Amino acid sequence: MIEKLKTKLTLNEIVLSGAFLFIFLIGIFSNENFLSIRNILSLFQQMSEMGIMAMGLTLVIITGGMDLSSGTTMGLCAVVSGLCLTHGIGLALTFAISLSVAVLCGILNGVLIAVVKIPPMIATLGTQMFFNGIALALSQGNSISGIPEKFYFLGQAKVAGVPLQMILLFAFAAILFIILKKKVIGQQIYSIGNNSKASLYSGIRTTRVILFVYIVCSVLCCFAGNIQVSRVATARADMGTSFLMICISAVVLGGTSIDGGNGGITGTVVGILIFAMIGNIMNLVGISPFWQQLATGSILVLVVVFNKTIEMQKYKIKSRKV
Amino acid sequence: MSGKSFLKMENVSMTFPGIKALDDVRLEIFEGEVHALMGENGAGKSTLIKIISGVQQPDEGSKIFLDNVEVRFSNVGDSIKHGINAIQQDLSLFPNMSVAENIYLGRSKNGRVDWKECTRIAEEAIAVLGISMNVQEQLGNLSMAKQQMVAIARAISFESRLLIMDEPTATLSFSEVKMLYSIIEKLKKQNIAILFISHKLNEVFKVSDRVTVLKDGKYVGCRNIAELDENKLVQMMVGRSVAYASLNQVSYAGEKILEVNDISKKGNYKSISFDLHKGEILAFTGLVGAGRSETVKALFGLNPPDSGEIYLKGKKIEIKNVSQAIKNKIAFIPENRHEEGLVLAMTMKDNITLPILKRLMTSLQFINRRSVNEETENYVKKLNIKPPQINKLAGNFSGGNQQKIAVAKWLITDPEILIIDEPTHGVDIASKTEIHRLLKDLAKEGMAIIMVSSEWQEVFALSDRVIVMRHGRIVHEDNTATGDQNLMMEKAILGGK
Amino acid sequence: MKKILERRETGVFLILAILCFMLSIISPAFLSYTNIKNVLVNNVPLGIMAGGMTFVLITAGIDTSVASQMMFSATWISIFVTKSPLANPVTVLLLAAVIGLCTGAVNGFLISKFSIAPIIVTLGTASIYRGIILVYTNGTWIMNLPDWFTNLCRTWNMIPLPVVYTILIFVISAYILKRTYFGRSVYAIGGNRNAAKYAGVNIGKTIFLTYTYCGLMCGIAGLVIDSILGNCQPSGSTGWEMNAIAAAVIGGTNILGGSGTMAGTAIGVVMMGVIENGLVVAHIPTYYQKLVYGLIILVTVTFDVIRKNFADSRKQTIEMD
Repeated sequence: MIEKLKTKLTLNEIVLSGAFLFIFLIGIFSNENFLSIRNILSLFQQMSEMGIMAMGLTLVIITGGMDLSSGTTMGLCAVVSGLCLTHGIGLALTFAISLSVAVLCGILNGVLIAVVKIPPMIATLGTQMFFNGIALALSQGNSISGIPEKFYFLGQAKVAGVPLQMILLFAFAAILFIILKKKVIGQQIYSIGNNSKASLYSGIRTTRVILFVYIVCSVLCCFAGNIQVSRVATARADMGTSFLMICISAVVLGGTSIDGGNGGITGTVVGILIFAMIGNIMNLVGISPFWQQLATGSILVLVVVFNKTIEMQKYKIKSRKV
Repeated sequence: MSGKSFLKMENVSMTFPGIKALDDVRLEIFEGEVHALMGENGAGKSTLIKIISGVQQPDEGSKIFLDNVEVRFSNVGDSIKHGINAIQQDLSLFPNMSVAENIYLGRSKNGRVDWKECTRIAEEAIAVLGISMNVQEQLGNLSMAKQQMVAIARAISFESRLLIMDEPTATLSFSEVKMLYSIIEKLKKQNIAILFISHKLNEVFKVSDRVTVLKDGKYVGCRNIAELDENKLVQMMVGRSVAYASLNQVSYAGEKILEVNDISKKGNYKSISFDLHKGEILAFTGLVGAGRSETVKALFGLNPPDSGEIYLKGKKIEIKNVSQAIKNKIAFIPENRHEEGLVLAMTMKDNITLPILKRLMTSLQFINRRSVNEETENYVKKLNIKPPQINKLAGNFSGGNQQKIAVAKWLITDPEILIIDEPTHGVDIASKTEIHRLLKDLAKEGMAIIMVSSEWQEVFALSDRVIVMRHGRIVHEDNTATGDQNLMMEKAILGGK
Repeated sequence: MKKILERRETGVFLILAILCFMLSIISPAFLSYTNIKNVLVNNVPLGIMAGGMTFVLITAGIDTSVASQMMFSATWISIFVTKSPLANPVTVLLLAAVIGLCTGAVNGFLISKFSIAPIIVTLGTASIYRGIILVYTNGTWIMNLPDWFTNLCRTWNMIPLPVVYTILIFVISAYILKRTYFGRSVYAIGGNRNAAKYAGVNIGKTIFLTYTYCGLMCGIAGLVIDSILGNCQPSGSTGWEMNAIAAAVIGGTNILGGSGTMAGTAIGVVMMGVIENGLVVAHIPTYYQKLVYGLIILVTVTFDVIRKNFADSRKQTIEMD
C-alpha cells in the first residue's frame, strides 16, 4: 500500500501532506474551536487574499520568472479602487479602472522581462518600488477611509453561509488548474520554464506567453487588493507588501520549483492553507503575531533546503547506478 | 623529445547518467612533446580534457600519474598547481575584466593582488606570443581571435608543464594559425608538453609528435606521427565501425522548392545563394565557425538576413521569426538537443506534440489527451523509438533516441523543408546509421532536407549535394556522388588558396 | 583622462553635481553645512549596507535580508548597551561584527552549500532575523541608549564621525575589491562563473565569504544606526534593502554581475540622500521619493540591459574576410 502510494505521489507531495496533517493535528489539540465551522470559514476568509495572489505568482514562477512587484501591485490597485469609490464612481467602473491599472502593471512587467529581457527579479524589483511610489503619491501617503458600504459585499458578503472571497478563491483555483493542466497555454508555460530556448524553437511565442502570465498575476493581485479593501473598509498603499514573502514561501512549499518548469496550483493552495492555519492557531492560542513571521521564514528555508538535499542525493544515486 | 613521461592515465572511465563517455581510456604524454588527441565528435576528447584539468572527476578505479606518482585532481586548482593548464574551447575568459587581469587571475600572494605585477606578467606573456596588445583594454571589446591569443597567453603565463589546447585554430585566420605554430615550437623548446585537440588532419601532421586516437569513448591507439599518413590516421579514427553505408547512389531530387538569393547578415554570413529541391538532401559543411549554422538558422527566422531574398515555390517570402518559418512548413532541429532541442524534464509525448498542440483540441478547446497519445504512438512506431514509453521523461532516453524524439517533434508538423544541424552529434553508431536511413526515407517521400554536418563521412554518405562554407561565405558547391572529396576538404580548410 | 570620462561613475557624479547646483538655486539652505551634514549622516547606515550589497551584486547575487540583518544587530546591541556592565566601545564593536558575521554566514552557507537562489534564501532569512528580534522585544522600542554610546557618532570639531567611519569602511572595502584575490574572485564569478571555476577560483568559498562580508557590513550598520538615533526600533527600516540595491545600481553596479565599484556606490548613496533632501527642499511630499527611486532603477537597468543586448547583437559571431 505504502509502496503503491510512493509511486503515485512525489516526495514533495508526501512532505506537503505530512506538514499539513501535522499542523492540522496541532490545531485540533491546541484549541477546541479550531474545528468549528465558524473558525474554518474565517480561516478561508483570511487566506483568500493571499491565496489569490499566490496563485498568480505560481504561474509566474513556473515560467522561471518572479514577480516581486505583486505586493505593491495589490496596494496600487487597492488605492485606485479606494480613490474611485470615495470620489463617487460607480462599482462597475471602479472595478474596470482598477483592473485596467493591474493589466498595465502586468504589461509593464511583461515588456521589461520578455521584450527588453531584464532578469525578472531585477525588473520587478524596480517596478515594485515604482508601483508603490505611484500608490503612495495617489493616496498622498494616507490610508483612504470612507469606502461606501455598497462595496462591502466583496469581502464581507456570504453566499449560503460561505464567504464570497472563499468562493472566488476556489473559482480562480479551478480556472488556473484547468489552464495549466488542460490548455495549450498551460503546457507552454511549463515548457518555457523548463527550457525557454527549446520552446522558442518549437514555435511557441514565448514573449506572448510571458506577457500573459505577468498580466494574469497582476490581475489576481488586483482582486486580492479589492477584496481586502472591501473587507477592512480602508485602502492603503502598503496593503500587499507583507503578503509577498508568505506567498513566495507558499508557492515553494507547494512544490513549485523556484527555477521554474514544474509545480501547480493545488500545491500552492495547500501551502497557503498551511500558513493560514499557523496564523490561525497562533491567534486562537494567543501567541504574538511576531512568531508567525519567524515561522514563515523558517519554513521557507527548511523546505527549500530539504528539497535541494533530496535533489542532490537523487542525482548522486543516479550517476552511481549507471 | 626527451621521452620522459610527464602525465600517464590508465583505466580512465567516466559515466554520466545515461551514457558512458569514457571507457577504460589511457593516455601518456612525454615532457616537451606535442601530443595530438584525435577522434570524431562524441569520441570523448572533451571529457578526457575535463578530467585532466580537474573540472570533472573520473569514475573509481581510474588512475592518473604525474612524474610516475599517482595523483587525484579534485578541482581545477589542483591541476593548475601541478602545472597543467587548459584552454577551453569557449576560452573561459572574463569579458568584464582587462586583458591583464584575465591573464593574471588565479594567482594569489597571501591573497593580495599586485597590479604592477599583474601588468608585468601580462605584458611578458603577450610578448612571448610575439604580438602587441594593450593589456589594459577590456577583454569584451576584443575580437575572438585576439581573445584566443589572450587565452593562450594566460595559459603559458603559469609555470606550465602541460598545455591543453582544445581546437585552438577554430577561430583563427591563416596568418594567426602560423603564429600559433611558432608559439608551439617555442613552448616545446622550453620542455612544455602540449596536448593538441584538432579536427584538422594537416594541422596534426604539421605540429604533433605523437597522436592518441579515441573512438566512441574508447582508446583506439597511440602512434608516432612519423609512422602514419593521413589515410592511416583516418582509418584509426573511423576505425572498425567503418564508414556509413552510402545512401547517395539514388537521388530523389525533384522540382525546386526553395531559392535563396544573395542573403547577407553582418558578422554572420555573406552573399549566400543556393537552391533546394524536393526530395534532396543538401549538406552544409565547413569548419567550426564557418557560418553554417548561422546561415541555416536564417531560414528558420532565428538569424534573419539584413539583405537578400528567399523564394519558396517561386513566391517571395519573409522569415523574420520562428512562427513565420513554421507557417511556411519549415522545421529546424538544432544541434544542441539538451539546450535547444528538447524539454528534457517533460515526457516524450509532451515534447513530440509541443509544436502542434493547438491542432490537438477537443471541441471545448481543451487539449485532447487521446489524440496526443495517438499522434505520439504513431511516431514512436514510425521512428522506432526505444523504449516505446510515451510517458517517460525525454531526459531519460539515450542520445540516439533523444535525437529521434527531436526528429519526431518536427515531423509531426508535416514540414516540406527540414533543417537539421549535426544530425548525429553525440549519438552511437547504430543509431547514426538508423538516423541516416530515416533522413533518406524522408527525402524519398519528397521532403527537402538541409543538413549541417562537420563529419565528412556523413556528408559523403548521405547527402546529394554539398555546400562548403568558410568565413561566412560559400566557397564550393558540388555533387557528392561525383565530386572530388579531397578538393572539398581542401576548400573548407584552406579556402581554395 | 579619456578613461575617467568613459566611466559610469563620472556620469552619475556629474548628474549629482547638476542636481546639487539646481537645489542650491531653489533653496540656498541646501548648501549649508548643517544640511549637507544631515544628508550625509542620515544616509550612513544605508551607505554601509549598500557597500556590502555591492559585493553581493557583483557576484550576480542579491541579498534582500540586509535591512533585517542590520536591525537584528541593532536590537541586540541596544539591549547590550542598556543592560550589560561589560558594554564599552570595544566590546560593542566586537559584538556588532560577530552578529553581522553570523547572520551573513548563515546566508552564505545556505546559498553556497545548497546552491539555492540567493533571493529565496535571503527572503527567508530576512523574516527569520526580523522575527527573532520582534518576538524577543515584542516589537517595543529600546529607548535611552547611554551617552557614551551615542557619542560614538557625534560631530567632533565640525567633523561628523559616522561619515568618517563610512569613508574608512568604503576605503577598506575598495581595497579588498581591487587588491585582494578574494575581491578579484568576486568579479570573476560575476563575469563568467564557469571561467572562474576553470581559473581555479573556489566558487563556494568565495560566495560564502561574500555574503558573510555583506553580513559584517550590516552588523556595523546596525551599531551605527543605534548610535546615531539614540534608540532602536526593531520593526524599523523595512524596505531599506531596496534602497541599498538602488544605491548600488545608481552608482553603476551591474545587477547582472561582473562590475561595480565602491566609489560608484558611494556616489549612489549620496545621490539617494540628495534626492530625498531635494524633495523636501523643493516642497514635494516625501512619498514621491519611492516613485523617483523606482523610476531611476527601472531606467538605469533598462538602459544597461538594452546597451548590453545591442552590444551582443553587434558582436561578430564568426570571423569573416
